[in-house]
Amino acid sequence: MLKKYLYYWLFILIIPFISGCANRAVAELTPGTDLTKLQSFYVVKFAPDGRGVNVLIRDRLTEMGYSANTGLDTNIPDDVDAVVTYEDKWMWDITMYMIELTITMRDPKSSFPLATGNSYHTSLTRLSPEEMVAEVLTSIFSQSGGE
Amino acid sequence: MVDLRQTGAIKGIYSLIVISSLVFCVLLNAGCTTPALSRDMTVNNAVIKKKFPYSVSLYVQGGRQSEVGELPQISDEEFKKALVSSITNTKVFARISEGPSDYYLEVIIINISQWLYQSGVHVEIGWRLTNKMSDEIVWQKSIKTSGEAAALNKGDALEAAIKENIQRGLEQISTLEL
Repeated sequence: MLKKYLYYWLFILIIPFISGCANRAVAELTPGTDLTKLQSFYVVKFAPDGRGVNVLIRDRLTEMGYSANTGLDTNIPDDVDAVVTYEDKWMWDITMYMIELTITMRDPKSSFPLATGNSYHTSLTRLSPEEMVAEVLTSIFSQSGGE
Repeated sequence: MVDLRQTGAIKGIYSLIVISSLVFCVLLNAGCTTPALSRDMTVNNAVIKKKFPYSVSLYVQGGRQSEVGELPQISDEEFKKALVSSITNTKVFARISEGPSDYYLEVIIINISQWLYQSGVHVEIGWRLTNKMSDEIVWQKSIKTSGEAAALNKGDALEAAIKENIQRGLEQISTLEL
């Protein structure tokens, strides 16, 4: 009898995993955006982020050959070509992992989006935060043939 | 010794738990995957200061279809339908054109922020209006709005957030000097 109910419970537990086994890596440029003109970036720290993803994004941009700094949205320099914002989402499965990362590059004056990239990896195909950052930025810059 | 698992009462409790769990999962999945619909995002009443006698063409981006088991999303098609209906209802522009027009309005979904166990949905949309004659950007702005709905009914919360965003966007356009 217990075995029968165990199967029911396994089925119930599997439902979210079946429906959630999706991976995604996409990016879109706003029409008219020329990413090759962007050379300096300011990464705004996402307020709820306590893991320093802003630093990972800054470091990756620097590795890619751009000038990049990071800090609070109250300290945005006047002379940057684009402001970078992001939102990271984490999930627990044995350990915490980053399930989704969205990075948006914006016009420094109006906040209007220039480009947006998003990566989504569930537990089985999880990436490290550094890899998630690299994947999203590569998706964005590959839209303009920059990387 | 009596095996409690074989008693009718225990069997009944097991059945109830299993059936409740199945119903919960079905409802949860249904609530997660229901995409946002244009009719529920259409603005009918807004504080429109000026109605412009110009035509406008629309471009939308950033939407996508909801995937199975995913929190609700909005497709570009539904979003554009809601925009067209809202502009038509509020009469901010005299005509919506699929071809040449006086103004070009780009509306780009930047981010939809939502969590399964939170009732609120946060939406950020970028708006940009360009004068087609002069090719000058006359207005561009990022607008953030939020929607709330009953627990797990993410579709309603998303629709409410987008509807408010469209309303605020059109209201701000109506204050411009075109």
